[in-house]
Amino acid sequence: MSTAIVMPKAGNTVEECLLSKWRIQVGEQVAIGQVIADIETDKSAIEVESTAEGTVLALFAQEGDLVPVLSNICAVGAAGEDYADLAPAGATPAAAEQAEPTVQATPKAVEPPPAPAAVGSAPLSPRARKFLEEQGLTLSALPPLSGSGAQGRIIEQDVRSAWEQSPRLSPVAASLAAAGQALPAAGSGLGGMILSGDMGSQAQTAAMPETAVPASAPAPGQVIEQPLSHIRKIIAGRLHESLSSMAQYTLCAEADVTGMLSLRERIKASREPLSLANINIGDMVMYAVIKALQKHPEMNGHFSDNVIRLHSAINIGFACDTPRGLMVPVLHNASLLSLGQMSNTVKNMAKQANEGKLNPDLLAGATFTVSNLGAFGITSFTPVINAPELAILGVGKTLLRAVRGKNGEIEHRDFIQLSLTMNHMVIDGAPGARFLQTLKAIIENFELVCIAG
Amino acid sequence: MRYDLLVIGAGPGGYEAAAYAAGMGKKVLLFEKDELGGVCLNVGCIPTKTLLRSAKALDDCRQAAAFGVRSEGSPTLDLAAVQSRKQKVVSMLIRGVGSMLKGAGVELVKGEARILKPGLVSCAGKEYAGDNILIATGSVPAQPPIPGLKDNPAVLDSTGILELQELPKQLLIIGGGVIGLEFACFFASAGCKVSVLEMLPKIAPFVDEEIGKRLMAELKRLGIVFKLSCQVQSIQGNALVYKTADGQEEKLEADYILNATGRSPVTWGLGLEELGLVYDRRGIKTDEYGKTNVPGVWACGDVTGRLLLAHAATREGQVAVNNMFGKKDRMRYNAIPSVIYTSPEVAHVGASEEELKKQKIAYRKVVMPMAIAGRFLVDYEGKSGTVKALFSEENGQLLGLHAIGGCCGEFIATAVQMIEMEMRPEEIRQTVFPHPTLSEALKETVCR
Repeated sequence: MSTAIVMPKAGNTVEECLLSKWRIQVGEQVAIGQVIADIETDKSAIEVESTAEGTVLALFAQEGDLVPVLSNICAVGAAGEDYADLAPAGATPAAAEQAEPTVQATPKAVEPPPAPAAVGSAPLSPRARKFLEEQGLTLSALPPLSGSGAQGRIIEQDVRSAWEQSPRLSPVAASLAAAGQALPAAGSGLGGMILSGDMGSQAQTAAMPETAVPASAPAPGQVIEQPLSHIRKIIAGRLHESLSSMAQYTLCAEADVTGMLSLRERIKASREPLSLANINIGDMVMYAVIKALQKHPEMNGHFSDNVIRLHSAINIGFACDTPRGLMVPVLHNASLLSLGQMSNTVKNMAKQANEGKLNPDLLAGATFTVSNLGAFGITSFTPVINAPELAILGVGKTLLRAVRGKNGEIEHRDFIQLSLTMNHMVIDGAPGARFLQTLKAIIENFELVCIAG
Repeated sequence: MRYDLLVIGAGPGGYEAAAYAAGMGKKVLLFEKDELGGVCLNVGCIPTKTLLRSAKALDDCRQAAAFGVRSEGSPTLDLAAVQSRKQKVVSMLIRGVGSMLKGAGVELVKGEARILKPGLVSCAGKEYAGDNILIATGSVPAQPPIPGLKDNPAVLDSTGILELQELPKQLLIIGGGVIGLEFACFFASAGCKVSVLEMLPKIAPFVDEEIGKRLMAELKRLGIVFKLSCQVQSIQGNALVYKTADGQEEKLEADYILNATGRSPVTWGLGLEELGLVYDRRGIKTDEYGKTNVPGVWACGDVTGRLLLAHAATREGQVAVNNMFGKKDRMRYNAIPSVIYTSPEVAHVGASEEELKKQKIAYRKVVMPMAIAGRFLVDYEGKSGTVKALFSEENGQLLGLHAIGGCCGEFIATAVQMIEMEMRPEEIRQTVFPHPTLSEALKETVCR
């Protein structure tokens, strides 16, 4: 019996996923657990593993399709088996959606629409209908238009100006439009004429792309175009929106981590039963951030639409560099975890994010974010706030500094570099500096803070 | 002084683009190392067509009796007179290009241009800066590595053969493409014994096969001998050694051997290597907007190795100019017509039957004799001609039009519009063709 493989529900909040790549073809053999497709939510990229064994009988979605979760994406069974029952309704992606023009009739038409005529049932004025008939057009051959007449009724002026402004259609394209195929925004023919090949698709318009099409042979000076992946587009959009919607500024400070480093040495040497060996400086700093946020709830939350929303739960996002680009897994209710628990959870989540297997629910809901570039030798930087959060802490590398001791002698101590970016629209310099001061004090007295719990 | 556009090469790609950009109000500088007009005007389209026109006049004289005209003696061709008429036509057209460019306000610099970097060109010891550079340097006859071909006085290329002042008795042509066939036709009409050697099993390989077969039959009737599937081995003096399809080595002698093996893009001496421009032996790589891989550097015409047709070069130049100055435009290569000026003439636009089969496009075919148009019988006594139309089975639009006979090169332009406009028989039927003209043969074919 043939079996269906469904689009996995990649998180409680995910309703549909983009099928970005098929890894199998019809006719191929698959085993349980074999990766059959790559999917993307708006936050993560995930591999779909086969839940059945046998021959791939049919693929019900095409690359690039948005597929509702739990709907069948392919059928697997013995070669030649019937799979018709497994095909989801309207699965054939080729079946284009009926491009019925959306007549944006503002308020609901009170009067009944005029008697149905050749051009369809849109609320058309008789003169508008006559104009269309004279031009041998149907309303579907025009771009969607809103009526300017009473109760949103489409009058002759509306169709005339739409007709005059819309690109001309070749006879073949006009037939396709009348048959319901969607009109592209621009055509690729003479003077922008819409040709049959442009219909129902993203037309190749006369508009020139920004960069030259690369030639086949690599050569010095060659330009290579790389369209953005679904995830990268989202990252690009979010970061741009973050910087364009906030007044971001960064404060930098240093905290003495000499104590932390010696604690780290002791943790490393600690015995097996404690299972602490993996706690590193980054974990300790994140733990310190959680403690600092408990003392400064004004930094933990969101700002949008002129409302500040302070959260009682501390959900720490931490930036991860993954093969799919920047991802920010979120440690929910971080203040409830011990340092050891926190360290283990963070490492697990980072590993899953790296493999593209992280539950998308764990990529949302952060109230404060930490980004650590210390391992790359970065001293200070200007992290970009993960909107709509209020702040983000950048952690840089540890630098050896010469400081004057209590008795005036010179000592060498290790200082970690901290860069705190905040939204000046809601957090001024002094409160921001006070938060950094608290954080610095916690880091410098880390053992005491741990004892205090 | 900074120009909006620097154009290198004054052929039909370059000079038309220069004049077009100047017409848009741009400051344009045009470099040319030789005569204005490029290959087309100097050693290509125009001079060969004057020769072929003389051959046609000769044919008309020979067939005058069929039209009830009697003249004494047998007509002959005076090649020197033909050449001097050719020169007159060419000079007149070159002067025309010169005054057209002057009128448009294009500045002209004579000399070899070299691109120093994007936006900077040197020529004759001076440097010129411009926002855009259009490379339109064209092509030259290809020199295949055949032993004995180089520096052999018996071997001519398409440029050298235009200078012949005396008709050879025997002519051997290597290459059965457009250039080879047109010269074969001229010299055969003039009374030479002409043989055409072709590597492929057919002549004019880009022509729809059905039409190509008819062309070969007609040319054989002119006395041209075809040696197909033959590999040239070497040239020894005025003898050509080649291998036949079954591996036999044979030898043919002639007064002259015409090398018509194709054309090579002029990519040297321009500094393309240093510029990092992507090109190979077929030409500079461009996209459908005329862009090369280097921003600000564009190319059109033969140097891109795409179509090697004057009218394609002109349109490519226009597309590049439009795009460089912000006007949306792109090349559509599905409706570029092509004409072979043999006797009979061959013209086509759009896809051939073989291309449609290869692309698995379902089509409907209509083939009509030209004699369906009364004018053909009036004008072309004793000749035959064919028009073939290919329509999409899916939506009825015209996809390809192929014709042989009469002056089909003149009416092919109409078919170009039909393809560009995606017309179907039902729309074409609403248009009127003048009577009696040969275009009615087109109408009868595309309205079925």
